[in-house]
Amino acid sequence: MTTKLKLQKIYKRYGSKLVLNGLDLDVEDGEFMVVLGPSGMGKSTLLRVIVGIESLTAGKVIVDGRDVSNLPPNKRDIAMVFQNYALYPNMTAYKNIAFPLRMSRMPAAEINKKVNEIAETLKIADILDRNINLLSGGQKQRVALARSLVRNPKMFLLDEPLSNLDARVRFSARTELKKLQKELGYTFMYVTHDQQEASTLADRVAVLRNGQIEQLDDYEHLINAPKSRWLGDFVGDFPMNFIDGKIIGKEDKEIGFRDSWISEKGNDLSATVEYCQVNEDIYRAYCKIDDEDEEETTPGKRSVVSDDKKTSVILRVGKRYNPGDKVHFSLTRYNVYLKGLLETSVTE
Amino acid sequence: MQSKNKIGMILLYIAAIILAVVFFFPIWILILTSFQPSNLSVYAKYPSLILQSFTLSNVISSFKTPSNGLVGSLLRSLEVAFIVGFLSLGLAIPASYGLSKISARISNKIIVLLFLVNMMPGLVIAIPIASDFIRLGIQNTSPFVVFSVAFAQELVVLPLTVFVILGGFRSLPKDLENQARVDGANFRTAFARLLIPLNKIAILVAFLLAWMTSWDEFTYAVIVAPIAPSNTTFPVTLQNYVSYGYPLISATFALVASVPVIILAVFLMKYLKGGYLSGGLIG
Amino acid sequence: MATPRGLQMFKYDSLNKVVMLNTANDNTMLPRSDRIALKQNLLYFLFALPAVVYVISLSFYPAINVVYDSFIFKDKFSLSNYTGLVGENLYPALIDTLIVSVGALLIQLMFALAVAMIMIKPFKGNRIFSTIVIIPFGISTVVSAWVFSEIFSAIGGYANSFLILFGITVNWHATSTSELGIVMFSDFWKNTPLIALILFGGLSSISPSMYEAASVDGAGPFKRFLHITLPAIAPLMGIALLIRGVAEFNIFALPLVLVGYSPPFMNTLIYSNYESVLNVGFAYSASVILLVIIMIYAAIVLALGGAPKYAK
Repeated sequence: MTTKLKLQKIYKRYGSKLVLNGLDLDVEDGEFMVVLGPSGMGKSTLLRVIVGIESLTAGKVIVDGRDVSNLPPNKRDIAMVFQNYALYPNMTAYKNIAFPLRMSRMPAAEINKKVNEIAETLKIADILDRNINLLSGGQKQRVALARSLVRNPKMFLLDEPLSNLDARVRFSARTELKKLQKELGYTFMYVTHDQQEASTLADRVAVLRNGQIEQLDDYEHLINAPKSRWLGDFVGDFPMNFIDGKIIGKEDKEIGFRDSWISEKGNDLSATVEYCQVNEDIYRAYCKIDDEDEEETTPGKRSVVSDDKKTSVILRVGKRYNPGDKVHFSLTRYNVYLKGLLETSVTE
Repeated sequence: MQSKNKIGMILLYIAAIILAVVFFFPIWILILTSFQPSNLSVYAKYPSLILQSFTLSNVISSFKTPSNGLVGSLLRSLEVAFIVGFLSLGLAIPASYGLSKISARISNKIIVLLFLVNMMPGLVIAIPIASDFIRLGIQNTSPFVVFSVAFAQELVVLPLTVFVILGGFRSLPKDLENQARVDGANFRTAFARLLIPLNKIAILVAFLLAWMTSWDEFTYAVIVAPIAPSNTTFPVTLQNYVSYGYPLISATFALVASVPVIILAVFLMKYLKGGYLSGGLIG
Repeated sequence: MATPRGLQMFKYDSLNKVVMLNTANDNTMLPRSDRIALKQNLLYFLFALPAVVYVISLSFYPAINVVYDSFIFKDKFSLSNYTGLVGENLYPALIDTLIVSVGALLIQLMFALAVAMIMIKPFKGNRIFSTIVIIPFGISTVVSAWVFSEIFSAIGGYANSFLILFGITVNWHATSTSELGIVMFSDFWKNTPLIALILFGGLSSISPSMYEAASVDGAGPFKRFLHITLPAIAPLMGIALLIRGVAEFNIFALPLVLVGYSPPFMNTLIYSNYESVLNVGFAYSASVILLVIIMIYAAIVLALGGAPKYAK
């Protein structure tokens, strides 16, 4: 597998703030790479620096072995889809898609062929003549995508292109996008803060934090073996549970486990349910871990340790619990963290 | 609730009618004086408020004024107005583009600066310019008159033009230019083939505003080019005729000449209503 | 790999993460991107330069000339241009200008707001109303001034044709007060439409749901106006105040045609002195005085927050 895009020690400074801080990343040819990160952490900046509309403070951007760091955006042969699509107003869909081809001085007949081809692929052939002001969100997204694809560039950057769509449309657009990328074999770099998107779309996920890639892995590994406590908290629809290591006799360490890594048949730990959430046929109990020394509370008697100091956990349980109920469980699987970093993974 | 609305609507209609009458009344008077014989209008003590007879003699006389005074000055005004209009675009389009790219804090201060400079009394500016022309002996030669008046009027017009076109640029989608660059356009192409055409309404509005302001402009014109009726602008000639005692002919001609300008104004209004006068400050 | 020049100001802390030291003061020490950003901003300033230079040079240079010349009498420095001006109706001109400027400005703003509020409501005659209201914009100032002089005559005239139906006549040129009045009215007629359009733009940006919400909260029409309408158009009012206010002080064509040189206004005073060769110096000094008044006015308006703020 060849490296399509190589980012070497990228630094980007805004005023006194280092938004990108020595970032390294390799994107493989034909890969769907998702850059995941909380909002405002520099994801968009990363894309803008790669495509060239923002300048680099230091570092190199290498595409297909060619150093493009000093080239203007129109010479880098990279396509980009912006979050609000940046469609050319008052132009038809056809004109929008044809624009990049007109810039490369392609003859009109060939432009026509290419635009129609891509419109067929993306199923927007019937709206080509319509003014883009009249299109729906989903149609606009596809026109923006078509515009970027029509040029056959070296790679594609996408800046949260689905975030402006409503939920149902977003879901179908997502799956279509993944299918499209696989069929055409292009290299995509897709930026988002949405966990669902990352898990559905990505071949590999790069988590961006503090201007650097905190972990680069496929989504499954990110979920199961997050390298740091922050990652465990951030990645996944539900944060990873963290409890004090003394429960397994390792007091200077922390135990991290996902909500499903428990068995209710065991009795090592107990927690008091605060409330129970039902989602389709999955029950999740939001609990607080009971202190070991604590006695069974009888009504009217206050517990020894105040509620605020207790650790909150989310547990995947088999049935609905009522607030105040106790859940007894053991861990079937857990990660051990020392000073916030992953040490080992243990499976019982 | 219904009755409250009804009262509100009645008040609205009353206010609207009163205001409409107030704003239309002078036009009506102008029509009365232009298309009636003078004994029914300017020479009558209590001229009638109703059209009593219709004549085109005033209109015909006005086109035949000595040394083509009125018609000639109309042409001068046209020339000046077009120069002012195109000069504004030439200066304001790049200025607005540059300002739209700079942070709003700084660019707004520059706009304020431009409008501030506008505040110089016209006479303050015009008098030295005119004196220079007198010294150079060129104040009466036709091409110089037109250009000198135009350049002076440009001062008044430029801040407004920049304001309107800047509003246009600011209303374009944020990443538009970036997208064009990514799509392979160099700066020149992106500017000429995309930014300008997308902004063409604001540019048109700005041009028309500049044109109409120049057309109406009096202060600079009267100082820089006061003499020789066919060699000065329309408002100056009008004022000359009025003060020399031929007001009727001037007014008639003025009405006739105002018709295209009124049509322009009505046409412009559609766009002015659309917020082109807000410079991107609201919304 | 060798440390790039721009990174000399960074150091690595214990976690091998880069930590900023301090911002460089020397431009060449700036990392490449900041230099590029600076160059880009400079480039954009350059775009604006021709317009700005044009406006500044064409207004400052003559203005400085006038200021200089106002202090010259018979080729030497003297204040006689100023002192002599007092005998030439300076004070009446000042007062007249102030009265009309402030008065006309307030009237224009009020009526422009009323017109804008009417224009924004959907009602049957809206199109016609809007069209009629814009007409003054297309009529030349000189023409409108002449028409108003026909309307407001000393004897007879169209206004009196109407009033005589009620048995009264008014000599509109009897007192300087009445003459100031007709100047103000004509000025109001000519200029209100444009301000109305500007304010209309502001009004149309207020979403109706704000009024609905306020109404549900119990706010009557007056309160809604005070707390929703006014704040929304405040920046535009500020601009109108600045631009129109300055233009009001500069009023010239209208009084010249309507009332001639008396009652005097600053600009007609300047003009009458300019026309007579003997008194050119008075024209200069009067110009400087007017300039100072305008600058003070503009400073006051700006200090009260008249500078536009970008809402986005």
